[in-house]
Amino acid sequence: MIMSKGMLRITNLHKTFKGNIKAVQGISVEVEKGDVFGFLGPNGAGKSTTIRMVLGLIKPDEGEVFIDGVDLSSNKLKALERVGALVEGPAFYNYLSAYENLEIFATYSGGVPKGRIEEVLNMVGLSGQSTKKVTNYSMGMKQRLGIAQALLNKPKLIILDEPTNGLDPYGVQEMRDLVKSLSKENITVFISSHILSEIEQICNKVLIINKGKTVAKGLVNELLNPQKNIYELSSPYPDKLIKIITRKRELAVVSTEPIRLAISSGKPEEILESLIKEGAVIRSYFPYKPSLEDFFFKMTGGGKDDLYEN
Amino acid sequence: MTYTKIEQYKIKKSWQGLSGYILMFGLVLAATIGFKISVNHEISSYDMVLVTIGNINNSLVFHFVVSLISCLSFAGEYAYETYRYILIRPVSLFKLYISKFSSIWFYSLKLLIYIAVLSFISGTIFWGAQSGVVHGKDHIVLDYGLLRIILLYIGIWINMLFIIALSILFSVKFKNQATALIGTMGLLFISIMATDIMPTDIMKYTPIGYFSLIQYLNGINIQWRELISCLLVNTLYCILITMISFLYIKKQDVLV
Repeated sequence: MIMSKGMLRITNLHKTFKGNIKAVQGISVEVEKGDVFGFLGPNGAGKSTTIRMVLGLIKPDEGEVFIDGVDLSSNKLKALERVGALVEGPAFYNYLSAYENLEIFATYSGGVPKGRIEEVLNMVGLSGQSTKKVTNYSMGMKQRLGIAQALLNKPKLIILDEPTNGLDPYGVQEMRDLVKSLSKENITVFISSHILSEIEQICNKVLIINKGKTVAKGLVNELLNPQKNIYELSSPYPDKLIKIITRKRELAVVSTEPIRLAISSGKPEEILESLIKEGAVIRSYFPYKPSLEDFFFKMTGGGKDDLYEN
Repeated sequence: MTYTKIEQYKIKKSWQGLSGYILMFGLVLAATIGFKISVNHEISSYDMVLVTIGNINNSLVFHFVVSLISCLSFAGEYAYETYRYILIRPVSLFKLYISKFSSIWFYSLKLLIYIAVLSFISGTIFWGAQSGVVHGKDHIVLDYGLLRIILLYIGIWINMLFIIALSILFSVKFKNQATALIGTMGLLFISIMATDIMPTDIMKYTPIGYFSLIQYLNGINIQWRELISCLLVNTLYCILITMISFLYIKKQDVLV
């Protein structure tokens, strides 16, 4: 049943576990084709439960999931045909080689030609190590092999649950580059991560959840300084600059260190001109964009310690 | 049967799969040498084919190996955490279940053939090539010797359906290879002990009374009725347990 044009559509998803633990409470989101979609939330927010429901690994109590327009609950096999995922870490038959593992998953995927195995191994840089048993692989190599298995069926949608967990900085960089290359190949990416700077760098859209509920969603650029009316300035004479700003009706000082002002009316370039005319010395002037991390903490009301628990 | 080939491949490559063959090699060799030392009357290489599988079956070693493989195939997917990666693919749970089941059953068939061939070869080495005489209880010469051997092997193979089903039930319940294996074998041992106290009328409707098939084949006549009812009872129990396991696995969330 075709219901949606988006690549992934989640509608009013609910899941309650034993002990009346409400893990997910009415999450809805639409991921469009070509999006690199960030999925954020502190530990226990319901991210993994949501991802498990999206992949059909657990059944939702309520709500619907459509993948490329196909209803997951009524046509699971069709819906999962072109989905790849790395969920809760990579997992392989340790007694087999990387190539043999991929052969197995290729069979389960159905219709994956042998050449594709070499192709994905090349993509993740493991073609030279494919005959090695997985038990001898490092965490980073396993993670890359996990991406390779997710790419086997040429997915239209790839779901990555904490793909940088356990990786060293080089591994994190490699993973980031890999995700960027996927989006260039027009693969829709749905990625959950604890590393907010990464999400900010690679994602165009984001969904933030907390305690099973949506707290913010939308384009990353729009979520951060949505009205685009806050500007950050620097000056060798900050006190003088602040005085000038406070004299102006259309401006308000948002913060003094660094100096940020909110513009209620007028064009930013005209405001700059008027400040200089009044004797302000300005070294830099640019629209303020809070980091996703700041935004995340503001929305979830948590501290960094909560976030980096894992 | 879509995934049978790949399931067989996984078994073949595992240490459990290989250890089954090594263990059987050792047991066949031990049985042959043991007979050579302890038996002072003439026996044929055909006798060895019957005797070794009879001993291996009665001592539950064959059951153990088949249960080990069943636990690897089912509980192993949880242990390696690969189950979720199979089920996020367009894989029918029913087809997967049947493929796994049939792969294990096929493995047990290959193992039985291996035992038969090995027993025949070792029997020939130790006693030389002889006529196809098969001896039964009290060293009587049995009619239809080859047929009896074939019936015993096929019977054991069919009986393995019950062992596989039971191991799968424990595997899907405990999701741990060791626990599932201990559970299955523990239940089998307790069942065997229960044969001493269980009334025959009840026992004939349970799989317990049919662990040993050789008793129906090594007498003057083949006891067809007992043999057939044994296989029927075991197959019915297999179907029942398989249905319970499948419904359990289907109802359960893959990850909680």
